[in-house]
Amino acid sequence: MSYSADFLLSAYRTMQTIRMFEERCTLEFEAGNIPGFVHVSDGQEAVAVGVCSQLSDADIIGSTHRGHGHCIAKGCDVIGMMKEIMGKADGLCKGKGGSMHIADIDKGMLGANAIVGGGPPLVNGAALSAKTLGTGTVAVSFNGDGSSNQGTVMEALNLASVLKLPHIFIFENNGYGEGTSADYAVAGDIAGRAAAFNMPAEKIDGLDFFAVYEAMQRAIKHAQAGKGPYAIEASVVRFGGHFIGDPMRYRGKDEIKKARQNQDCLKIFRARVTKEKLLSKKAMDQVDIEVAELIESAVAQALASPQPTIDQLMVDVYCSY
Amino acid sequence: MTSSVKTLRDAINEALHQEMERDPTVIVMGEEVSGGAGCAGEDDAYGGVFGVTKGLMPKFGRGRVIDTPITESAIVGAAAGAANTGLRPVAELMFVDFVGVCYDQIFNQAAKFRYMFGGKSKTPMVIRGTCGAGLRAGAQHSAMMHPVLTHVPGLKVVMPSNAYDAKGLMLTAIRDDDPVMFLEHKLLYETSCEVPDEMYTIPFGQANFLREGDDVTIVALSAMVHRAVAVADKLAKEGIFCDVIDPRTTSPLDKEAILESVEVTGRLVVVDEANERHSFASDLAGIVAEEAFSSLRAPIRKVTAPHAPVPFAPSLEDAYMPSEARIEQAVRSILGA
Amino acid sequence: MSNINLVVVPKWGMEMKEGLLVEWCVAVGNTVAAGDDIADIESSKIANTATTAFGGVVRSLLADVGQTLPCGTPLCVVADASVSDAEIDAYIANLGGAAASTVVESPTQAAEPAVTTVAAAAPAMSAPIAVSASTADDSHINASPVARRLATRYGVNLNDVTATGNHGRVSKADVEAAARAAGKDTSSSVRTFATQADDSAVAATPVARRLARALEINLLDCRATGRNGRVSKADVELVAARKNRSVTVSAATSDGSDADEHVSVKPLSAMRKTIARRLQSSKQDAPHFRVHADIELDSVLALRKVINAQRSDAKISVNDFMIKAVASALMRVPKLNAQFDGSSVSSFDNADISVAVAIEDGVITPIIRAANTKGLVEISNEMRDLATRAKLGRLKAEEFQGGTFSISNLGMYDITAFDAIINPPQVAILAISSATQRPVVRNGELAVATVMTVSLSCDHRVIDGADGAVFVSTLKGLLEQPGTMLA
Repeated sequence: MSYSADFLLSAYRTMQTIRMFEERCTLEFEAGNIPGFVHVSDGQEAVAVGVCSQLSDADIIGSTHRGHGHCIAKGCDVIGMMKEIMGKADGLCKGKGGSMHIADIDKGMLGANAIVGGGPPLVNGAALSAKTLGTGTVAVSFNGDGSSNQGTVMEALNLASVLKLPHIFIFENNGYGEGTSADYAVAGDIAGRAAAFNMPAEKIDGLDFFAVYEAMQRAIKHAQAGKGPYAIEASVVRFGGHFIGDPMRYRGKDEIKKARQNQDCLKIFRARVTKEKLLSKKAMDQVDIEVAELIESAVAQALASPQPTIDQLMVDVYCSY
Repeated sequence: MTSSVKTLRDAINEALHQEMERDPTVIVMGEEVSGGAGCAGEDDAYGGVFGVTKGLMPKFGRGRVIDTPITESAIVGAAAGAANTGLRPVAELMFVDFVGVCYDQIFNQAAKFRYMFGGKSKTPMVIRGTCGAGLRAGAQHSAMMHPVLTHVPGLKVVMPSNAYDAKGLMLTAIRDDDPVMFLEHKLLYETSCEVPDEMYTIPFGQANFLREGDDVTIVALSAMVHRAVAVADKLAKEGIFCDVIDPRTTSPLDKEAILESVEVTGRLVVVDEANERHSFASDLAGIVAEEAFSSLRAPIRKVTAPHAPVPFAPSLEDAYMPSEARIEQAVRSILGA
Repeated sequence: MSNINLVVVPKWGMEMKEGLLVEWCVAVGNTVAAGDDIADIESSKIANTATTAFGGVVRSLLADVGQTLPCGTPLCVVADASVSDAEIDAYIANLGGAAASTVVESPTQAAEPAVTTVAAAAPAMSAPIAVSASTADDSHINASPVARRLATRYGVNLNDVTATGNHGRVSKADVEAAARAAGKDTSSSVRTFATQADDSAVAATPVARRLARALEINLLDCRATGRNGRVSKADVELVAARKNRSVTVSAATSDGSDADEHVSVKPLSAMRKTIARRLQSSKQDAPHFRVHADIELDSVLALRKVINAQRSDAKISVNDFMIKAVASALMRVPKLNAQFDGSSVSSFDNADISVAVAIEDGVITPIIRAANTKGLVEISNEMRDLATRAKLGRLKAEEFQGGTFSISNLGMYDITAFDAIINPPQVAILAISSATQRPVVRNGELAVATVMTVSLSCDHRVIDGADGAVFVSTLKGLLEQPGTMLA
């Protein structure tokens, strides 16, 4: 499989944007600038970008509570996202949703979902629309290892298969469902569960951008051919806790330190593209600088923005009442 | 303009047929909405267990009339997601009691999308559910559920009491851009009246006055409307005249029409088949006590089901439901004041 | 649409009806945030500052300093800077008729009825109100069912009515406004009923059924809160109370005889009802205790003779002496010169003595004010005047309402003693009986004296036994040695 330099640089830029965005969220949260609960996904960038870089605005994704990365990878406005996470009036959802409900239907982002397992049934609906309206697009749900146990996910796998919907189920297995290990909580195998519902199910290394990209290619081809759903279980690592502020007492000593050294998908990507002479270090360093500036600008603008005024409280409960 | 006498079931069926023809984005989904999928026997074996969706699948195909597995969360979730992305699904809960199995998809997802996402998305879906007691179906197949649903911001709740209203309200529901719970009372499917053949809509939030009078206001929902009318007609023979008001939709509620009536009569009886606590009757009593207090001449009376699950034995189920006798006594108890 | 917001004269507290605009805190063009001060307002009770609930730019001030404005009157418009002046002007123009209805005190008070105001406020609304009523068909006009019914009743054509109800329909309030403008009376008349229908099938306790029959109450009119869904006695009594029917059944009906011609029944007059009510509550609320004493009146009688002989304008009675003596005693024992309202005791510097006077059909108590400062002749003359006018029904209210202590004298009847009931809010009353010649013991020897028995009733909530006893013995001392009243 060959990749153009432009594409790879763009993929790198997106991954780095996610990384820096998430790390900055942690800092801003700790500084008291972000209300509520935030769940960051630094460490899991390769899956978000490997999947979404192949989707257009018309393809729909649904995400979890850990959705910033998927949102950025799908093309949502980074500055609007930072404003939304800070609860500002000109945020992506006008300050009404926050981190856990971040969405932009214009970019095909059906929304982060605070209910574990809440997404797949909805994404089935998007796939049903695609199939019924004959758009040729696909729908992708991002799921965690924790949600793979939810009844709604089982129901969604079943219905997607029964109705032959173009729904690609991405399971990001980061080894932890909140503070409980996947080894403990998940009986059997996630990919195996999906396979039991009569769909192809792959198990891949989620830290490897290229592995993700290629598995997704196969999934899209399958779905667009009208063959129904596809499942990909990608093993990843999250550097942070379940939420920002999680003391992470459930993780082993030095586990995160080691992960940052040996299981950093960005480092892995850089190493490979440098070794195979696909991208120059200089180009990537320049991207690093530009992304840092973008994040800085996003934060500055978000901090300066006002919160919504009280008259916005009752707006958009209904289309009309 | 032509019309004919149609049952409530047929009126809704006609609405679905006509709207699916007019708008290709309307789809129907649920358990046995057609029936017989994958079976050796007849296609369209049911057309809905109460026959409401009969004939749709043969006409529009399995692409638009979808028999689903028994998976309420998946069904309602798919309807919500499809509604967000270009379709107008009419999903069915075979019995509205099953809303417990998929409540998250309704109250946490569909009802909140527009608000949480800053007004960018809309969820134009209808969930039809069969409600109410009277068919000896037992505690888990006889609930009303409208109190729980009316409570949810972002959701609309529709309860037609007759065939004419049912067709007009269903067409409005499908065309409405917000998620709508459309509750059809089991006892009403066979009731009939004159229904126009053409398409027409009845707006939400507009109550219907079945009888008019200056002496007492009776507000009733769904199947209870007919019992209230019977009581009003009996009282009229004694020279006591009632406004009998069918709100048609509990969310949005035509509060204004009800308050106006109470301002004239000063007396209110609310008939609601839901269990007493947190019923629509309690809600309306609170609204009227707050907003028309100085017009009231007597306490507000609620005639509801008791705080008990729906019993199975016929004698008990009949006692559970608000009867004409109880409604009449409630009205008379506030006349002397 | 909601980028234009109105700040109105607020209603602080239930009684505030209007406020005086004292001073503006903002000027046109100022940017304000939610909660910022807009104007200082003064009502009859408080001075406070009206604030804005919305942020934006102050676009227009709608009132002048020094004006007194009803609550709800628009004060100023706050809107986004991006809203055009034309939109602001249109918004303000629309306020004319709507302003009066922003303060909702009760839902039965509809919007301002003045035809001209409503017409001026409706540039964007349907047909303006015509001077002569339309006769055109109005069945197509969108109106609420009650509005339509009332329009027919009041003879109002819906084409002539400006619609302000939900979804653009004509509301009841709109029709009533139009009707009033045409001079109709829109006050509601609500009928009440007694149910005529047969109630024998209504489940009721036997006692409830009997009681309902006796009181002519239909069981269908009663709630059924008794066991097993029956109408209970309490349910019947509730309906009876609402209909003001007495719950006591006359004895005549219970012995089964019809139409007893030896009984005549007369309901209480208003005065007797009042007397009955007051005395009952006095006896119920105040725990009465009594102190008795026999008082020798010979000294008083002798003194009376002297004064009456000496002064041509004097015709002092024993009762006048009682008034004077009681007033003097009260100065010495002030605790009994008080009023009690159930929680606090009011003490008075002067003794205002209420003196019971019998009149036709009852008793009235004219008051000798500050009797302690008046001489016997003055008291006597005043008492004579009051008693005469009392019997003629010509007392002014302030002449018999109030008083700090009462005297009731039944000495003109041949009785030994009696006890009186306190007149609330007073705390005591003295009952005076006949003065008769009685045997007394002086220095171990039998003698004869004119003796009168008095009975003091006290409210034990605030008067103790000792206080009562001290008062009575003080009074006795003053009467038996009248010269001591001079000291």
